[in-house]
Amino acid sequence: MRQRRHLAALALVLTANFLGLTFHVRTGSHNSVVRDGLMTVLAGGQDAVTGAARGVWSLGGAVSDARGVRDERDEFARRVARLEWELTVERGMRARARGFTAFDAESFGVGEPVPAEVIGFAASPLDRSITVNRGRIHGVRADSPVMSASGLLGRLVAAAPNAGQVELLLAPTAAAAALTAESRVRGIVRAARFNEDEGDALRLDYVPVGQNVVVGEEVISSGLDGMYPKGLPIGRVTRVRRGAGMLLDILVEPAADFDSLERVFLLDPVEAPFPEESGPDAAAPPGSAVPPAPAQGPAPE
Amino acid sequence: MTPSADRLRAAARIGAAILAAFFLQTVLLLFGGVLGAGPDLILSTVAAVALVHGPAAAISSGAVAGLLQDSFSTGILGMRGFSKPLVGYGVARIGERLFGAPTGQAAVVILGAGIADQVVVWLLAEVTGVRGAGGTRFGAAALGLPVTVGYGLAVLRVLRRRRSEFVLSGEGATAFPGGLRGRLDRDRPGAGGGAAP
Repeated sequence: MRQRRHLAALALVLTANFLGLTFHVRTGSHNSVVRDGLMTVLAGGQDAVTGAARGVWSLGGAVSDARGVRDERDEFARRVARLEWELTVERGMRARARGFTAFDAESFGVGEPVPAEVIGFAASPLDRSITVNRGRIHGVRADSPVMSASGLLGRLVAAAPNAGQVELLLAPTAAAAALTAESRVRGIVRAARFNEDEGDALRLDYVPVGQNVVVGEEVISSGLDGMYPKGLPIGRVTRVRRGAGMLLDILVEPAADFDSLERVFLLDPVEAPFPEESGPDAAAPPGSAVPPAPAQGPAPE
Repeated sequence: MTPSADRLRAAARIGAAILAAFFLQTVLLLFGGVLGAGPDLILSTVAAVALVHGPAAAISSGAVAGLLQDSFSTGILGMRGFSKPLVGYGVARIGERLFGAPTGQAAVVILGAGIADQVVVWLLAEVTGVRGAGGTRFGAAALGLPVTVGYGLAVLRVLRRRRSEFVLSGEGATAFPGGLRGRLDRDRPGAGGGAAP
């Protein structure tokens, strides 16, 4: 009798979750009342625990860490991060200017960034995401591109009132349209399979054999996905070899240090450059978690 | 103390364990992680709860933990909310036969739970067509399994001690008549039979 009750409860929980799952898959939405509520309630706790943990973390090497010195250091860190960010944007703009074409003229600028602190990491090991302490009340919206001082990190997929969930480029579900800065070869950047030796890395997909991609050249966002502004640095090519079929297997070392994220910048969401379409691809942009397209196939661009 | 108050205390302990795992997972691992590996401390906690408190607690704690994980990940809401109660229930059913078992057996069960959880997520991703869900991260999660198991054993130890104190001191005699007490007595060193004294 008791076992039956347990099985009934389990069936109920599984059914509810499966219905929620299929609903979110169909709508392609990351926002929900449940997520919103949980993030609102727990983000404060995360913020406090992160602050405490950072305090404890810094105790070891900070004998002279008097309050005034720390404040001053934080202020300098903020200013350095800001300057690095401006430098990064400048470099991206220069790279963008080098490949100026008729279509690129329709591309997007980079608005005034909203600085944010990272307060949490993904709750699941199968995911790469972060929680930041900026949300809707700070004027942040879902789909905002997110950068560190040195490169593109990902995009905001859910914005609660006081916090936001950022899908990192290293997440299995993330993607960004990209191009190489020198050879101007276009492709899609995605997370590479985790490797114990190489750690977290990105790969540039859908580049046909014969394209002259050089090891060491910079990879920047192309802006063609309507998700990220053009010219943001993504990483640097570290390996080029022939892959499956007629495509190159290109490994990219991320420009941003994904393992030590503290401060990030949220940019204005990019306005869609294309008119709304009713086709299957229109429902799921490249950065979305649930596009119906197959994993391998012809280059989408 | 009344049985309902006892249950409330147990529920509070389980809730605290899940919250602790959540903060450890999302905040402390922010400071470098474990050599790139991705342990699942929330799953460890669900497995430990399942081993100590049985199927009902496993289902409810799995549902809450899964929902938490889904909300603080970029995946689709419901994916881990589906896998965690399912895996938790499985662990609880196995745990009913292993109560008081040596650490080695519990470690194997938690390890199995970690693998089963990843398989369920992968299957769900295949069924629902969610692109790449976890695909590139299975290696990292596999590397994190030793930490997952270690943390699970630590939580198991704490929960078991709490529960043993609770039942053997007589507080839980009305809440858990017969069965659990009998099993605890049987598992004590030097105890020969399975009957409660």
